[in-house]
Amino acid sequence: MITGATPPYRAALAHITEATQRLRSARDERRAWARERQEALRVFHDDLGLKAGASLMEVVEAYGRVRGRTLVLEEAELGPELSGVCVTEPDQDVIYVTSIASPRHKIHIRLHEVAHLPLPRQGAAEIATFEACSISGHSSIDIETLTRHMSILPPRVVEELQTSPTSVNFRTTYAFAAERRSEQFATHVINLLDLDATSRHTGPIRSAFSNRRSV
Amino acid sequence: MWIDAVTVINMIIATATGTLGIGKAMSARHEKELTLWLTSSVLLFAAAIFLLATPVVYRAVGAITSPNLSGLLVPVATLACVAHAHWLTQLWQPDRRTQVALRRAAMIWGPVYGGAIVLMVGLYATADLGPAAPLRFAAAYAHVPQVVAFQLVYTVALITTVVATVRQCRALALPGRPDFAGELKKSVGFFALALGFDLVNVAITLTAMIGVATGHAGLGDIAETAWLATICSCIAANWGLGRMVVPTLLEEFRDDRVLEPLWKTVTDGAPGVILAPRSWWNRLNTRVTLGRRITEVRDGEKHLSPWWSVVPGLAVEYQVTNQEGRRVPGDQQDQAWDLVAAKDAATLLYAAQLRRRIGAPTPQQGERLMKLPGMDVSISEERAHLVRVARHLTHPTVLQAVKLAHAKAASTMQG
Repeated sequence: MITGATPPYRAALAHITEATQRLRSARDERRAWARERQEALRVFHDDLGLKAGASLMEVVEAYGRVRGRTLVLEEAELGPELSGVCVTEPDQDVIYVTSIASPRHKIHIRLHEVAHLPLPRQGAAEIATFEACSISGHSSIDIETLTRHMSILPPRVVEELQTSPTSVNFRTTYAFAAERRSEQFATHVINLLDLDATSRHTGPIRSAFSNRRSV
Repeated sequence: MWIDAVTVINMIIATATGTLGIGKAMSARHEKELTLWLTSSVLLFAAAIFLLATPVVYRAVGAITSPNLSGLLVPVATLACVAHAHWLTQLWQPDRRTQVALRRAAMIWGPVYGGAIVLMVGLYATADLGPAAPLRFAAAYAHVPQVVAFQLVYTVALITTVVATVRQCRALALPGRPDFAGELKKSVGFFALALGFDLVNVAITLTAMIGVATGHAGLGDIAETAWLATICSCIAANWGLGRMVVPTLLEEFRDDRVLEPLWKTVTDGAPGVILAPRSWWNRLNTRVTLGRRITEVRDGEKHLSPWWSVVPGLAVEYQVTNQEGRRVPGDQQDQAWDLVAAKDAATLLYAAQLRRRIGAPTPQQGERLMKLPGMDVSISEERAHLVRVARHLTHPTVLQAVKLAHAKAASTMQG
């Protein structure tokens, strides 16, 4: 008799196939995260020459030293969708962070923005691409929002954007690969830093006993 | 029977200690944290000690090289373990972590450890030894002057270094969250206890050796019981170094779960703040998962900022202060209550509900909230604060405050 119902063995096969696919996708995701983490740690330890227990200012100084340029941190009232901006001007780099954020979140945002700055190791081609791309991180926002984002920048930066090779990165979404990479950097590197006086004091002992520098 | 029991116990302890050491090494690979490397190394050394002291391994190593080589390797490895512990306690205290302090400590203690090990190796090499004597090397060869000198050098070096290390453990100052600092102190206590048991071992061994050397052969039998002190030492060290690892993972997992409703509330209309969907496999990496959760909650909160209003927070305060005679939040019956967290929760819940209503106006100029009450929470308190906010999302007072805020907005519109 033909009932039209799916035979039990087919349903079982479908479950197995689905489970296999889920496992495969979980494995791929895990590997992708592991690669990103390795890359973030390599930049932190090898390119910047930093060790666990460094402070945010040491990360900023290391970027400035390796790039041979001044890196300035600023706070600004950014819009609700925007938490950080990285501007590379001809003579210096400036990072804006929203004033509406907790102290820990501000550190995360600054780490994200600082990771946009290309390091000499990344090669001339990548640096050239970065500098040629004047604005990034806005793929999913409309022109009105972009204009609003631009309005938070000092007029001289907007003017420079239009006239000289000035690059701007907005932390809004992770639609761009560069945004995702920077966010991964911030996600992993923040765990290595001493974020306040307490973690500076107890980081090494916490690390020894709980495998965590900060909680 | 005793030897069989020691063999089984040693193998279990060596496996457990080695596993914990490998776990720490895997964490250290990512963190590149010296204290974590040292912790891993001390555990692997301890595992090696238990392996080498197991009679069957002792004899096997002896068959290949010198019959009592493990009798040398075990004390040398024990001194290496104490040196690790000594270094660790130096790094744990900020004022002893400076380059100058570390160099001074190395100048003082380096020759003590190095000199003792060199002397012990020299004395062992020149001693005239017979067949393997696992667990009772010193007592079995108490008639050999080099072995007596060997044991005395080991005892003096161990007592000196253990006392110095335990004193440093006792002098540790641990600021921070009281519960976490309390747990750390307990772990340091177990660590110091483990070092103390090493002294019990050398005291028993020395008694046995002196007893045999002075003609009391019966005392030689207690030499093997000294190993019980080493077993206690290793259990205390393992417990001290490992007791916080699993609870830390479980707390991270628990906090991630608690934060999920808050995360859903604030990211509901802002999918752009989510870096990647979480697979069950990635959730096992609790630290990164929790870190992402906290960051995305904060980003989601900011996306809600146009709808932040002072009204829900005021409604919470109103209920707390103006309901005399009724059970109010914040009294002793409501231990989990936190006013700042409740105000944050009410503000975010109200803002999320406003955003969901297409076309709903944002709060008027005078009602706009520019900063959440819990926005300036200290870095070390951020996670605990957000967990409290998440727990308050379903608190009756918070839900009532949100209702009051909606009622006020409706009456304003009608007016």
